[in-house]
Amino acid sequence: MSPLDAQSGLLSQLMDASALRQQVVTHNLANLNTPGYQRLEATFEDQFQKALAGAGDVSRADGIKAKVVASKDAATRSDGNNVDLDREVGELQRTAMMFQTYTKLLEARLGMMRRAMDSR
Amino acid sequence: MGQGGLFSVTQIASSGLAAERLRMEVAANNIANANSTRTADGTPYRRQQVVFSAAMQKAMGKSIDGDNLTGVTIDGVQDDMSELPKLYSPGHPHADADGFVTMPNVKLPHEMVDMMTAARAYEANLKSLQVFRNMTEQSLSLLKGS
Repeated sequence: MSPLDAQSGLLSQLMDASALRQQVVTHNLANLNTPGYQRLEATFEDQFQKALAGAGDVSRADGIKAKVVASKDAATRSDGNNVDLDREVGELQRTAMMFQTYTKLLEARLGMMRRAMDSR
Repeated sequence: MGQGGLFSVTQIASSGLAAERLRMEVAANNIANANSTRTADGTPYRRQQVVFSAAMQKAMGKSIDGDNLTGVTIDGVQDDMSELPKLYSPGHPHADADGFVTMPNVKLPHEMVDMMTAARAYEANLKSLQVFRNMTEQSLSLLKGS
């Protein structure tokens, strides 16, 4: 359980997962020209979706972490590498945007708490 | 990854930057020596190429996670052992008995393409470094009291 409330806990979990995805994308980009390299992928959305399906509070997603798996769906080039530059850059931007969303939400949440504590 | 931790993305991206820079240097060296018919050991220059491999500390039976992503390693610079072309030029000081000069196996288009891919990959690594910096700044901004 996060030291904060369940919602902030969920948001920080999502931030962790996005940060890991960013790391994985960076790793793929660093190996853009490595022969035989197969791209990796961080997955977490489906796990969160499964845990949070239905009613109830969000603490059910506690302990979920992003998984790093080898990606098989991309076309392999003749040098055995399947990293696609455009795809990775797109993924990079998307991850950054999601991360920003989570940060802003957490910021709003913390602001609410701060205002409650100030109680002015 | 030991020294990685919070800023491991920086290390992954910089391994990519270093690798692409070396590729660029090797391509430039190949172009500079495109007509070097003699090297220190008396043979014509041979085109060089960089060999990369994915650096991943993958312990047996351990799953991949953020801690064992370490970017790319440079395995070394190797000689391209493809055939050296011969050029008929009897007046050349390095010509053999039949008047043929053995030229380096550097192909300019090949080097140009290599340089272009290296430049694009360098940009991509730099971009991910920038994105990482923005993300870190956003996280740190949470500490600012409003």
